[in-house]
Amino acid sequence: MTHPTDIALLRYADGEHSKETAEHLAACASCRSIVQESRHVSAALRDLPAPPPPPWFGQIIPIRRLRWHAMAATLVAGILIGGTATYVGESDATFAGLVPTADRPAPPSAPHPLGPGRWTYLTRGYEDSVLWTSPHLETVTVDSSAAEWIIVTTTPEGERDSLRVDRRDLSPRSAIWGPPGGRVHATERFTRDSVIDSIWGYSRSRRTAYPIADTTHPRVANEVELRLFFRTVPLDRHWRRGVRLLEYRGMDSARIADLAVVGRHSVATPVGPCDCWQVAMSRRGRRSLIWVRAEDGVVVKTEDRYGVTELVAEDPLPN
Amino acid sequence: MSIEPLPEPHDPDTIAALYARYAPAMMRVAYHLTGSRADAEDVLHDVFLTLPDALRRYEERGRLEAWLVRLTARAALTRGRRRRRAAETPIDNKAILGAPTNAERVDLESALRALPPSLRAVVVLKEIEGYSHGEIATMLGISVGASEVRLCRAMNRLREAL
Repeated sequence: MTHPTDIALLRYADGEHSKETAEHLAACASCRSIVQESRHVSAALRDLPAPPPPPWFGQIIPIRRLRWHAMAATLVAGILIGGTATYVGESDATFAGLVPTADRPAPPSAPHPLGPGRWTYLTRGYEDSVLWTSPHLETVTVDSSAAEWIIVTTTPEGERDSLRVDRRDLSPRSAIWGPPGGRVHATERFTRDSVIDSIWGYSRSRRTAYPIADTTHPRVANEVELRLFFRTVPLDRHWRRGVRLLEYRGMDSARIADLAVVGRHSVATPVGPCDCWQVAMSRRGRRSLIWVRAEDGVVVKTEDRYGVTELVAEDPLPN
Repeated sequence: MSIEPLPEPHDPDTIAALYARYAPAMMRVAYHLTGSRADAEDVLHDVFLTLPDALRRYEERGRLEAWLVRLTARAALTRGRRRRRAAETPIDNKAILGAPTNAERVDLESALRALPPSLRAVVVLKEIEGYSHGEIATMLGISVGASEVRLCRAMNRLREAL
């Protein structure tokens, strides 16, 4: 059987029907599937969102200069807040075994200086960028009860993750995450040991599924948690041997990310040089770079797998 | 206030009204063609900066929105060519979109961004903006056949990505 050309199939999918192609499609399931998939892609493309235009200020203004100033301001604010409001979301217990014993930080004996507050984190491009998901803002609120800190992360779409940690030693008590309607409640044991035995990962491109069982790697659900991870576990030269994380995206999707320190550099930022560890992150053979401030674990710069670098800022909101 | 079909090129209120009405559509094409919010904002900025002069060339043939979107698409394509020559890298790509509610959309956006600019331009103009291959060929300075071939290659890659 001679199949129509891809262009002919695409024309057919686009509504340009020819008798020959129609007759072929009636008898050929593989070409029918190409047409159906093309229509599906077309429909999905038309539904892709785009960001809103910037607000109208009554005149045309030089965008680039304003943007640079805004970024400098947010960096300054991020650095100012970093010293007094270090935000830690997971305990050392979660990461036991990752850092060699001799270099592992001692468990805190006094309450950790975590305090109530609210921060927004800008998360950025998935795949095309270093870290996680499509660009969006996440708001992190830290609240407290008598015994626990309650850390709630929300997205504009209403996805809301919460993590409860002991006020004394920051050990995790429970966690809830996932979209409305598909929320996952994690037990203390789950959050403490990150033992995952019921999660299935799958590869969309290969259409295969595989169980991820007995995984003891720390779980990071999004860019915010990865940043918290950097702040929690001090980076050092031993990271050259590598640290493995489980990137967890929901009940049916997870994958492994390997992190390793590959250097130490001074990074130029609009507010001056920052002494940073350079961390390589490998996922599915794709390598990106993250520069983490040595002093406090704040992410300062990223480089995606295409070599595009970006400075990163954390924008505090007034409480 | 009536905007179409006779916008007054140098009236600030007219420009503001055009912005309010058409900037979302112009932003969409600029964003998908450049793949970056920062670049899309720059394109929009450049188009509106030159709009008073460009409006004098507007001949009321066809809809004003289509004309403005075409103007934006040309500016985005020109910017893309200039950027590739200068090998610039953006320092601020803070596109603030909604979090992906479905993994397929994330894959599609990633695959679209990963396409070479020559393929991405055709797929955006044809599949998202709805231009014909003839119009795309004119805009990009290629033949109709080349436009079809590029769309075909792009769609094959996007199908594989989903």
